[in-house]
Amino acid sequence: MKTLNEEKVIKNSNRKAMIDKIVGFLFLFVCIISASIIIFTIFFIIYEGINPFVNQYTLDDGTIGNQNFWGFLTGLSYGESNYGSLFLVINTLYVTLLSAIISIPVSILTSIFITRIAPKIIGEVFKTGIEILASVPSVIYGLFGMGVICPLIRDLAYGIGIQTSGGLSVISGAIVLAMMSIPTITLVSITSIQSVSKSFIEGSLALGATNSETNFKVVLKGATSGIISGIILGIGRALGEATAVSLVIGNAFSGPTFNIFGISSTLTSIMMLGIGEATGLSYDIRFSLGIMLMLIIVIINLILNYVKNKITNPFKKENKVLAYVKDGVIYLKAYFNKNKNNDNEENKNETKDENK
Amino acid sequence: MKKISGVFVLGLAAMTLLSCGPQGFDTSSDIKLYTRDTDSGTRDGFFTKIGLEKAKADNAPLKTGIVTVDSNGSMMNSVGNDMYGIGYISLSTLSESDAIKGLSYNGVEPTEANVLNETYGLTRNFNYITRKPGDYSSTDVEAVVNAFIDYTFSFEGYTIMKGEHGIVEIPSDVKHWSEIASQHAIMQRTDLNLTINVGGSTSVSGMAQALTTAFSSLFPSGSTVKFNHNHTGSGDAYKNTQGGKGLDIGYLSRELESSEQAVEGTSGYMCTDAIVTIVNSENPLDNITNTQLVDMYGLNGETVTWSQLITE
Repeated sequence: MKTLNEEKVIKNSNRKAMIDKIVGFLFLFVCIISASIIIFTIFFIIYEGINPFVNQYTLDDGTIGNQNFWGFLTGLSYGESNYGSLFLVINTLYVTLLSAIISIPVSILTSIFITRIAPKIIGEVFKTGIEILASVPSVIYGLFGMGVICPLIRDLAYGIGIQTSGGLSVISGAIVLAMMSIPTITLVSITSIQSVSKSFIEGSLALGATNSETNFKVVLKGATSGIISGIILGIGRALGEATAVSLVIGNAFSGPTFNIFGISSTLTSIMMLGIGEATGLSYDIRFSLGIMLMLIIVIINLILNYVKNKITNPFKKENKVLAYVKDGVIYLKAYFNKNKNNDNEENKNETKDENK
Repeated sequence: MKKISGVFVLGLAAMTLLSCGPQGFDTSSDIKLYTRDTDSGTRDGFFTKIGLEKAKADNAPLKTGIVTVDSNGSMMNSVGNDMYGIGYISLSTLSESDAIKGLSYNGVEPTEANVLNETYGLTRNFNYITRKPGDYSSTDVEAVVNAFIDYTFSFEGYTIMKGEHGIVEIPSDVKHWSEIASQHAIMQRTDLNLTINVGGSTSVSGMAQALTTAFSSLFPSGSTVKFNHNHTGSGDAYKNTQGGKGLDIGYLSRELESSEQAVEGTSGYMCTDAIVTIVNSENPLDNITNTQLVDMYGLNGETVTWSQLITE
């Protein structure tokens, strides 16, 4: 057996510490690269996106000009005479909202079924199916939408006396987007529902609540924060999706469209359309649309995060007394933060005042 | 619970009943218009030829609610899905698809024969233009460009043009490149390092790239001849070759205009591109005229339902 003398051990440990340091720097370097990609991307998009408003372009009819900034912000049609983006922003929000109306209830109910109702094996099978759904490339959803959903919507609309453009419509786009965001929302919801403390659920059942009451009033409430995170991710996916949407939405170049059977267009679908052949102003204006899209995504994320904080933590950072009347009885609820010396948990006291 | 599921089943049944689909062509239906995106060469050719020139790159002169698709394939697919749709594609892509059919234009059937004998009107010619002789950056560049033009009109060149959907009759006395190559001493050089600038029409860009890629591989090892493609529109073809500097070869998807006087022997016709108007195969319409198309697509046009075109 080999034995190491003291000197060697010290030398070895010095070397190891050195390697640790080097590896640490390497990791830092890689981390800086991956974290700064977002900064480079944003700078690049903004840099390119300003071009249409400051550079001069030779237009197709031979004249020289550029895009008017005000016209871009308020325009309701998209074409060489004026690349307007306002109707695209409205359309994008509308289609995303419709898809959220479809995807959020479906995802939440699915995740409750998988975690709380289904037998374990069946739940696992369903969960695996949804996980596979999450990894399907978006163009596949687009082709499915074009080949299956569009004809279905066309025939359905025809049945109620509405003529569509072969099923290319807002609702087809919303359904395809919902299909794409359902796996994201469901998987995050499942994780957050599973992390709801068992004692809450057992407590609720012990108090006599039925399974359904427990699921909706205790489990869902406990998992709200996680579910909203899932919704943020799902809506992010719906907002950023281009390929699938541009295949089913019809790509109208004016708007906004609120008729769910009418054709529409989103920021991303217009950015995609004909980019392979685009040159000059038509190419550069897509970067300006990119700025709009990033702004929308940031704003929506901020709003949803604000809502999340309000729902899960309504009285954070402030002491509040809430009074309300129910059945002729005045209830007082006091929420307050304890002293800094104590733990930061919020306390909730409820007093019942019999004064009528 | 039973009640809820009962209602659900009823709703489903109603939906299936409703969705049994359209039957037969109803001429009182609206015309659903389809177009290509503003950067498409096919769109450029279509609107230029029917007389809506302003719409070739702009949507403002068109009716609203037009579906935009970004390829010949999705145009065929979309019109095939929409019984009341009308669109246009490149003639070379008009396949034997059962879902769509090509319309005659001003009474002439869209066939390659009719394109070649110039009776079918919805066509445009692809032309080229080079710099003036002696105006190149070096004599080597000039020699390469001349060899390339000869290559374009060799059997191999014609084959490539046809492969890229150009419609052209290969002359019976066409020579193979192997027969012509010996006339160009530049093709034997092994010390070339040149960049040739190519540009002009975006519609011709695919064909031009196929030609230059094939041609640049013909040089012996040691020589590198690069073709730098920058296609910005037919308008730049004359402007940047004989009207100014920048390009060695320019392509046009139209004829040279009277203001664009080319030196003799520096420009010429390559092949023809034809566009065909398509409708769903259920549509009884067989022929369409350019004025009818303008009335359909144009912002002020008054054709909105099929009954205005189809009289029974």
